[in-house]
Amino acid sequence: MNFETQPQETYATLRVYHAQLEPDQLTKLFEIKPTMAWKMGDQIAIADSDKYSDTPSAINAQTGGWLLSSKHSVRSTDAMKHIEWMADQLANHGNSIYKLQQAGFTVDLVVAWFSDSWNTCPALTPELMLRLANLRIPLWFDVYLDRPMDLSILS
Amino acid sequence: MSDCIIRANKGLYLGFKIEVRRKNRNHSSMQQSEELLEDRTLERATGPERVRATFRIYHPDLEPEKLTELLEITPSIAWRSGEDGYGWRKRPGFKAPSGGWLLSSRTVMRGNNATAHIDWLLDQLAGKANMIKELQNRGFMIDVVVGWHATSWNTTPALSPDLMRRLGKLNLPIWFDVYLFGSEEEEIS
Repeated sequence: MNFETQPQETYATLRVYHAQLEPDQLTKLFEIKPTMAWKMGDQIAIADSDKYSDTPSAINAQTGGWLLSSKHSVRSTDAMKHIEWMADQLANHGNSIYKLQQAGFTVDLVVAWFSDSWNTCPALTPELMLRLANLRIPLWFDVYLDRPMDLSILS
Repeated sequence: MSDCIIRANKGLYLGFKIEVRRKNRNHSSMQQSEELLEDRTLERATGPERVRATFRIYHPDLEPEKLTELLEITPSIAWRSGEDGYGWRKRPGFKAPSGGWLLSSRTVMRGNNATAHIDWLLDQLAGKANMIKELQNRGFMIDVVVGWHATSWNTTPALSPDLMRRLGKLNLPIWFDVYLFGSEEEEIS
């Protein structure tokens, strides 16, 4: 436990989901290779956990997914830098995102935030909020307090 | 509960809930009940137990009455620099290092929907963008802080594009002051 209000680790992930999602089409649309993508029905491997042995090692995807993460592209515990990197990757794709949303695709930005303090302070500047608002992307912080554990499938 | 959250976390990135079957256990109505309970536990776990939004202005030369007149809003609390027993706590012997003017949803809004608290705050500030900008240019520190008290170690503050646009147009930075419930709280918001 420490008393720092900044995270020990943070990264941003753009998430796109739809039952009929075709990963290659989205990759072409966004002109960037995703960190991870799959079609509905694909087998997705999940890292084994000694502690939680009841978690299956692989599952059938119940929807299609396309994820772009800043995890391996931005080396910083400043969440703003991760979100800015994401906004840079998506610059000029506001209309594409809007069309996807209109077609029923779920699109959002999750900021993973791991802190071993009991008090932590995710923040956003007006400029960054306007960039995300113009891209029509909702944002949420996935905050882990006290017991920082990166359990995501983004290895 | 941690077991449940781990499933949710992986499912979170996959976009759907991972079906988990414990080893050496048959499907039964009891198991279905446990899964339902876990779902409900998760819903409770990631939301706040207590939330409030506060618009804050600070400056060493801040005069509360002038700001109240300028913004045409009555603050929840305000004080001058050097005032004794300032802020929410009003602790005697503690002198204010700076002037402060706070408008908070804490005494107005009920419920733990953070978006509703922030919306209420921005409704009060509608049409004040130029005044806020002018104060910022004069060196006043202005922001919105959302006090967020969680009962579990995983919690998920969120902002919609509309809310971010409103905050952005008012040139207001926002931050979530996230506390693990039961921890000591500095009453800054």
